[in-house]
Amino acid sequence: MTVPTQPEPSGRNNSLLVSVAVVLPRQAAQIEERIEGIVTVLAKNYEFYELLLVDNGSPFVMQARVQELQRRMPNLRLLRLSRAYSREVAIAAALDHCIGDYVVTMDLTVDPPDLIPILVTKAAAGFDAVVAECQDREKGLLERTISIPVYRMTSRVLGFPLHPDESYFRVFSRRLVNSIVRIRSRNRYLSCLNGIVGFQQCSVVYHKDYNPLTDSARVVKQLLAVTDILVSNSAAPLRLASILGVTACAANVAYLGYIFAVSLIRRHLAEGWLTTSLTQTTMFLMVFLILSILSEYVARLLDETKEQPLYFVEFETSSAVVANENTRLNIA
Amino acid sequence: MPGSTPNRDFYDAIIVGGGFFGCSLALSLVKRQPRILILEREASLLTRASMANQARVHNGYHYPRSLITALRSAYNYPRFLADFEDCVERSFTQVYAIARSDSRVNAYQYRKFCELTGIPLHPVPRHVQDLFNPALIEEAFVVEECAFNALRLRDKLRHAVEESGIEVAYDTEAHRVFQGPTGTLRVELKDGGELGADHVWNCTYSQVNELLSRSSLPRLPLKHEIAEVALVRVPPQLEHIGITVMDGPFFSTMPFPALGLHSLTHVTYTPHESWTDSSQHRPPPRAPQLPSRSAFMLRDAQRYVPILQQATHAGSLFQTKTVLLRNEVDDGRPILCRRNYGLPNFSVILGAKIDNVYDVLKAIDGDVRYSKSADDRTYSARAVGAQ
Repeated sequence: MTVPTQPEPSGRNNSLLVSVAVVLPRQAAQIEERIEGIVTVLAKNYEFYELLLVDNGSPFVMQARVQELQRRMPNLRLLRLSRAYSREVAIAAALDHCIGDYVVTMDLTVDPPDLIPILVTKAAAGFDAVVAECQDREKGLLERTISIPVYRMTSRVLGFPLHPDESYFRVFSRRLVNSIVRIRSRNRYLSCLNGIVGFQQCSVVYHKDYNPLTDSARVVKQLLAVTDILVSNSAAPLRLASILGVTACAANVAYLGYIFAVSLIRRHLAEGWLTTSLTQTTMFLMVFLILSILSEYVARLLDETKEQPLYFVEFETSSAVVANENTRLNIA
Repeated sequence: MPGSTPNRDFYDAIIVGGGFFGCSLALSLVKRQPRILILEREASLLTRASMANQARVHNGYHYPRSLITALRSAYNYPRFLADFEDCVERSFTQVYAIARSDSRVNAYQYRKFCELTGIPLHPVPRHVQDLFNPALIEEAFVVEECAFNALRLRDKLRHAVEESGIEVAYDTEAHRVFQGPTGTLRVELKDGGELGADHVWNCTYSQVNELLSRSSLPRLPLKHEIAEVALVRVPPQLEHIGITVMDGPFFSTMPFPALGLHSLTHVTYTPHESWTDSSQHRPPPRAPQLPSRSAFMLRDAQRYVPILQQATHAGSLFQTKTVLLRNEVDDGRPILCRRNYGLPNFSVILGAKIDNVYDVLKAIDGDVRYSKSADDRTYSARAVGAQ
């Protein structure tokens, strides 16, 4: 009995398995065309690929249409979630179920499939995460003066880079996916996941000639997103509240000193000022002190309750030689 | 040595299909019906489904959702080991692991199922435990299950058939079965010849319905699928270990003794195409050459057992796998047995697991001895002890 082997077809990459994961939209317009567009690009470039469609509470008709596609197209997987979850949770489910060496997440309705091979090639060159940044040819005034500085500041606070143009269109290496799936936080953002892990990341910029959002609308959207990311991933705002509380405590202490000094120096004080001021200042001092202490505890609780591993290992290597201890004798 | 052309034109029984079930049936019948002919369309016995499968000897662990299949596998296991001691590979550790998510049973339920079935579970040694990704595997167990060597099995069956005086016609395909003018069964051969028999058995596995159709008999509700068993070279740490991840869209890799490799099958990627006989007539191709899906199987398996990243694909076996339609949900694998199907003394047998052959022989009131030297008392003691 001999092992039957198959000839390797040429032309396409046959060493990588590329998974593309998309969350199905609620509206089903042109879905077949878009899925076919992705599969065409994948089939042209890779011998081994899969397209995982996550049905996140889409209408029943969507399921039927995808199953119809499955009858005639290869390597299509449909993962139906039990109800509609947030988009981030749906993407987490996709990452849990993809099997590829590289996993591409993208928005089925807007992201161009032609970019997939470019992103994957970049990732295969040594980056664990490649992010497609969709930029307008020219940035608006508000975006330049507000969004970019806010994102820069947030990046410094979080300790990893964030860009206002980042999208869901990105590639993750298997090593990164294996690390990301261990992060089970409910408030999760795809754009932060590699930041938390810390593997090598790069971005590929592409331009869209038409953007339906105005400059101000886009800035509002970006600011809301970055605030949410900051609050979900950092205790820095709580620390700020704590510092403010301590500062208020110090001001109250100073004011208490002022009250005592005035009561000693001045002979005539308005009736009731001393007792009222003392009571109010003491009470505020206590309140700010308690708030500061609470903020510190809540900040620690936030860190402790995040369902994240203590650390991630990028790789481990060992010596190529063994210790040469032949000269020593085992004699005491 | 059996010849390739039948020596007579009338037999006590003609068995169409020289696979494991056909040969076992012949050996079972030969005491009562000495003139037996096996019609085999290939040049050798046990070439297709009996050869191209995972080579697992089931002890019941595989069927937590079909208790009867599990119980019968566990019951027949010691007897199969006794009959085919020289054909089974037992020198490896068989491990069943329960996936943390997407599994239809959890570790607790699986343990209870094994208790109920009476099959032992042992704790995994540390070096085996370390092979699994703990984020994806809830618990792993060492089980008592082995693999058979398909080549040795074929030799043993061929020897037993020859020893029993059973005639085999190789490269001979039955075209149809019909009732002759005198009431006896007639088998028309594809090359134009015709044979008579008191009994005819259809043991052609995936071709069961084809023979029924050509004989103008009703087709059975079957589902066929082209199944790929990938053959892989595993790293040394896995050489003596078989791993099966339960119970859902997972994989199994275990030694394939006939080639000295590991077989790799995956619930999602092993079936390439499937079709039912009732919906649309579609004869299965004789030698399907489909692009291998081993890359998919390996990638998914590597998530659960990271060391499989060092495994390499060495080739694939393709075969048409046939199951009863009603067992798609519970994954049970009963043997289909229809006596006097459409014609008197014409019977159909379709088996899925070779170790369950004793059930069908019992159902037709027969028994089988694969070797003249087999000592029944020894077997009985083993069977009782193992139970």
